[in-house]
Amino acid sequence: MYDTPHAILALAFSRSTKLSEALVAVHTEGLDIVNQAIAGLFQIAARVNPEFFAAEKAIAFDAEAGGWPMPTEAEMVYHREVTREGEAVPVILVPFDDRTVGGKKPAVYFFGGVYRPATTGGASITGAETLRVFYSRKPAQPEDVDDPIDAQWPGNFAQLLALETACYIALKDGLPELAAFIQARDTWLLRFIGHLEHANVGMSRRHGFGGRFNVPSVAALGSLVAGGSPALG
Amino acid sequence: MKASELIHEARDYHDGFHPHAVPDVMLLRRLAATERRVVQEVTKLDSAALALPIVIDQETILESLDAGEGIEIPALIALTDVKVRAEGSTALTSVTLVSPSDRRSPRYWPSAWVAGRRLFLIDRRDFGGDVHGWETATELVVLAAVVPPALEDDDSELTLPVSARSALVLDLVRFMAGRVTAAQRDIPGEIAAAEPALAELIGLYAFGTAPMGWYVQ
Repeated sequence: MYDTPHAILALAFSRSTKLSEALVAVHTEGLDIVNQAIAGLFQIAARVNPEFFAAEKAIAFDAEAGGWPMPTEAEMVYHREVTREGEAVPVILVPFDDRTVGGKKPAVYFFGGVYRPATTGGASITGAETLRVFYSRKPAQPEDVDDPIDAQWPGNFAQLLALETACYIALKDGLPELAAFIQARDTWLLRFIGHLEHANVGMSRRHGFGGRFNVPSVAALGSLVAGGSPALG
Repeated sequence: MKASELIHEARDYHDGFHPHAVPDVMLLRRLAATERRVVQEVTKLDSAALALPIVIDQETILESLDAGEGIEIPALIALTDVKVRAEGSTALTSVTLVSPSDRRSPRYWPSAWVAGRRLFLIDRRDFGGDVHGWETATELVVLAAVVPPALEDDDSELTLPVSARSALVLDLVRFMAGRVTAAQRDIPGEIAAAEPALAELIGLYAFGTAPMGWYVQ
């Protein structure tokens, strides 16, 4: 039902009498705002549950770039592998200034948007191989307000997208309703994060890096949404 | 016993022991270092306890005498014994090991001396003989504790026998806990048990192989 930027904008406008199509140029600015809103929510999803909006891609070696280019639609690449003798062999990511840390395991380092091969001895990955990457992706960005939004966006969280859109509009125009929008948005945001967290439970695993993130980031989760999130800090 | 088996077992001790936090290459280096330490300490107590036979064939013996270059042997921690088998004989005769400074003495035969990683056989021709004296030797058996080789990758085989498994695993656990601080809080018992387990292993190898009832002069 709310599967186009136009529909999301209409839902956003319904949140307050202060919001209306008079405030935004729906076909240009309105489209940008909805795309911005969904992009921030996909970033949060990448950190909380990288597999939620996951995709995979086989990348051929680009001799000119000197490696395998990171897919432009990838928000967070969390696994890389090659196929050898029919078996998937993990390719580890190593720092560019410590390229032998993987020993003889096939390894790459990330440099300028490209995964370059890290020479590690006999098992090194070579340019003849195809690198398969698994990543949490960015959302598909509709080019028109009546095009569909990302097909994987869960429809029951349309209110979150609409409130996030309302926050951006309120920010732009300095509307006093911003605080109320943020409060309502945060309620939905926490529900969305809750869903991301518990969407798949009961996984058997040996190690504790379920979230893939093992270091605190500079950009806190709450800073990825319009006006910041008091609920997320 | 493959290195990967021990590494995987050690990682099971704590959910923070992920390859992202402690890559395999670090554990391979630690395993190799611990193996060397065990072999060294056991050999200090009993030079024969972990000695392995290195068999050198006739062709190698004769080639080394012709070239006068000595026979290449693995890096050793301790050389326990050298024996030679003569043609037509099943018995092994002890080869006297002389110091490099005594190598010009013709008093002993068969004899040899070691320098670096080479075994030099005393050649009778150096003392006016017509032949080198090793013509009937079919093989040499060198009994020595060798330096465990570096572990190149997960598939590398360890030098120590399978009885060393649990002590080596605990040592890996202790090593990983040094990098994963949560493990120091969660599994202090296992970390504390690592050193006694190695000491027990060293004692087992050094003193545990002598059969009861040996006559000791």
